[in-house]
Amino acid sequence: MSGRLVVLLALLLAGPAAAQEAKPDAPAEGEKKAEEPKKKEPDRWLAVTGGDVFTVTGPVLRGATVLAKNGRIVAVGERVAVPAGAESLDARGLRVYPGLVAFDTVGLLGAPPQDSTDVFSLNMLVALSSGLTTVGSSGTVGKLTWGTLEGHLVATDAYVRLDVGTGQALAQLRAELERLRQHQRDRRDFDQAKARGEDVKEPDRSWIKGRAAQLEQLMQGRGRALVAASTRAQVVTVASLAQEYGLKVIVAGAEEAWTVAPLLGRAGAMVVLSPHGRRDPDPRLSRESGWSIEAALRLHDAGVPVAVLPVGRGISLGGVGGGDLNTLHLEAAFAVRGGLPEPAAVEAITIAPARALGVDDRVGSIEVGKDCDLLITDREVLHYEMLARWTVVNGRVAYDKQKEPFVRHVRAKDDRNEVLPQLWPRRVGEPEPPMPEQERR
Amino acid sequence: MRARGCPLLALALALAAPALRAQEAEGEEALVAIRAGRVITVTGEEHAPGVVIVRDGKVDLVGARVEVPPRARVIDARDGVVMPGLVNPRSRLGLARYDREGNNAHQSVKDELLPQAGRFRAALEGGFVALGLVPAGSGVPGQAVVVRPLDDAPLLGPAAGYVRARLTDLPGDKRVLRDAFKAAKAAIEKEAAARAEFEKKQKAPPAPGTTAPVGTATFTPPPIPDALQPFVAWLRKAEGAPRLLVELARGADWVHLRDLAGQQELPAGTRYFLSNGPLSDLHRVLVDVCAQRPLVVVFPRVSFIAHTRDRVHLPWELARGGARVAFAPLTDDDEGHRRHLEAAALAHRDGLPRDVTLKALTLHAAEALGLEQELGAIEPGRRADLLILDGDPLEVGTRVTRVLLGGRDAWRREEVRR
Repeated sequence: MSGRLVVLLALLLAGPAAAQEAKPDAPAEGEKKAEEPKKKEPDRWLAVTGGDVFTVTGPVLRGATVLAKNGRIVAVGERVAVPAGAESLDARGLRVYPGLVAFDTVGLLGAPPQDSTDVFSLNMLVALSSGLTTVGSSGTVGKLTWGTLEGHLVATDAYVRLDVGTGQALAQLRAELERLRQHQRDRRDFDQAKARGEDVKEPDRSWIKGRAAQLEQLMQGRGRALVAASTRAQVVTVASLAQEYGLKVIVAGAEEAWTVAPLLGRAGAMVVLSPHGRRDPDPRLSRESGWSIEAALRLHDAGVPVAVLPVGRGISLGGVGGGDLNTLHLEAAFAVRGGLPEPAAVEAITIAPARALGVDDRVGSIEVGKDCDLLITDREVLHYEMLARWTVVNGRVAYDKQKEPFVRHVRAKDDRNEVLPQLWPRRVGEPEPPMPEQERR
Repeated sequence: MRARGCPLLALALALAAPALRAQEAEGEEALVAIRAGRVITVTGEEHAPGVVIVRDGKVDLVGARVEVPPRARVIDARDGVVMPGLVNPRSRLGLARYDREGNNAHQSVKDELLPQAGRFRAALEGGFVALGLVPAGSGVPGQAVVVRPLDDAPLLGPAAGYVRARLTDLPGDKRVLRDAFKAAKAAIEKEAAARAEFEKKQKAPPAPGTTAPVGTATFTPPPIPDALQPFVAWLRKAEGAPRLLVELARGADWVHLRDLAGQQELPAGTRYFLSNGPLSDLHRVLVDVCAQRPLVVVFPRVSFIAHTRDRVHLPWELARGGARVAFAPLTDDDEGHRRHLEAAALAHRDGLPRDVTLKALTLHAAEALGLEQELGAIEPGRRADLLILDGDPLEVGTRVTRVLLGGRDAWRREEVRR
């Protein structure tokens, strides 16, 4: 918690400072750039003005402006001067969040993305309409750059997969890790002996390539390992492996992980889970087992960063809200139902998956220097009616609700002061509220 | 004779046939004069009534007040409309199915052509006078040629046609194109290196003792694979390099093509075939496509935006943006060719301007094949490939009654309209 506080304080101090810096600089810089003959393309400015900016890693700035230059955020604050000629989005009365991040998805990125993604697919449109801007797909990370391939690919090989699903696989993994550890010991002995001036043979390194090299990197604390572990036994194994060999692990699935949350917390593991998971408790056991709606809360309390992912990894318009990728925010809201604090739930669909994918230096929060990926909406991000008004990717308006025939009929008037009828939550037995007057054709 | 229920007509035609043949035998010298109720020249003004004089298979004169030479054979179409014949810029009508992968730019559809009776009958009935036949497959399937819609499929112009490339199946097609350009670049560099090496050797004084003949050695460049020849020509921006036509199906294909073009410049004057289906999303890239003012082959069709009731008239939008639009039949079969004129008429009814529609059927379709100087309009000097219609071409229900290739009858509707 203290680390978070420090970040918050730092941002509190840095936010206005950055705004003040940008104030005299920005227009002057724009003019300077225009005079330079070398640079062909003029700077691309985007200003999102007057919205309530939820920075996620820092404070909420009411009525603030986010200014981006060539796709990067250069200023966030209440008194940001917008250079002349900048594209501007009027976000007064709206909320500005960082674009949502999904850890693993299907049907959005091509393989390889830069050569085959359909940048006008309906899937991408729907994903953008629900605020997604960065998605992973089997370890490849891409942005939902609508209509362009510029800045589409973010990272490849975001993690190394480890298998602990069967006894055989686990034994093999342990053997591999143990061999690498033995090599580390031999190497240390060799270095010491050499320092003493003894004539010793250098340990053979030639076998460390491919998979072994990946594992060695993991043991050196570089990169992350993704392990699918759902039962308590598997989760305990993963936690012990992580501690024993110094691996940074991401536990996927993690249905019974909440029962051993402190263990994962001590191992420094991250968890990717779906709050809609289902696993019945085992009645023969006296301990906690199965799935719990409180899973995300219990893990969060134990200091385990939680990233939320829906059960379905693809876009589907036929499912129940929260079941598919297009309702990622509802999935996070479901964790709130289980007691997870709301800020943590927002983190679980922004900065937490960004960290798990190793792209938190670019996405996942609204900070100066990060990519300008924004979700601008008239509702709280966890609200079931949340629908993006604009989605910004790499400082470009990737989605504008009023321009898309597929969604523009929803809240078509774009009246931000419109009071919507309280249809939800409604309790059993309460009289049904009158339906709002709708324009019928 | 087909006119079953009409013995009188059959008799008349049987008597007329030898006479026609006798006239054709007189040779190319024969003058033909077509008197028409209306002449649609496509490039110039319409003449109503009008006369077209054909000499040596080419249009000699066209106008409203043209004197008919006394020697000329007169075709009387005073109750009809004369327009240039339709051109199909991209077809596989009557060709066998097969799949070809990778870069086959050296393969030509010429090798697939075999005489076959009645193969192009439907195309003639629909009013086509030239078909651009393309090879099948993915990547770069090869070179398209232009044929007459006759049984022995005679070729039209050796330089006509284009190299067909496809960018609809990603990432495979994109990889094929990128690799071909890369290989062509490597071949050019290899040749330059070999030439430099050769010149260095020539300049060096001959070793003492040997008497090397001076100036007799000639440089033989390292061979370039046939499939890379067009790519090398494009990279060198050589005169007479073949035309390139790229097929695209989705908006994203265009984005990937531009991505490719950013890495490797595409040849100037590249044509595009935008395969606009009923739910096409190609309107997303309209602005970008039109910025190039290209020649674009499309289907005469209005598409829906997927999952909505909004419609997009892609041909119209392209024309408004400044692109030259050419039409390909909606379906690449007999029925599609028979009803091509009707499909264009429907596109016109949905808003496409008259001149754009007519050019899309004729002049621009010919331009896609590189025949814009020979076909596609009624102008002195152009081939006299003409249609006689029983009404305005852009009215639904108008039928082709007669097709003339080089001023000669290629097909005549035998039934008489009631």
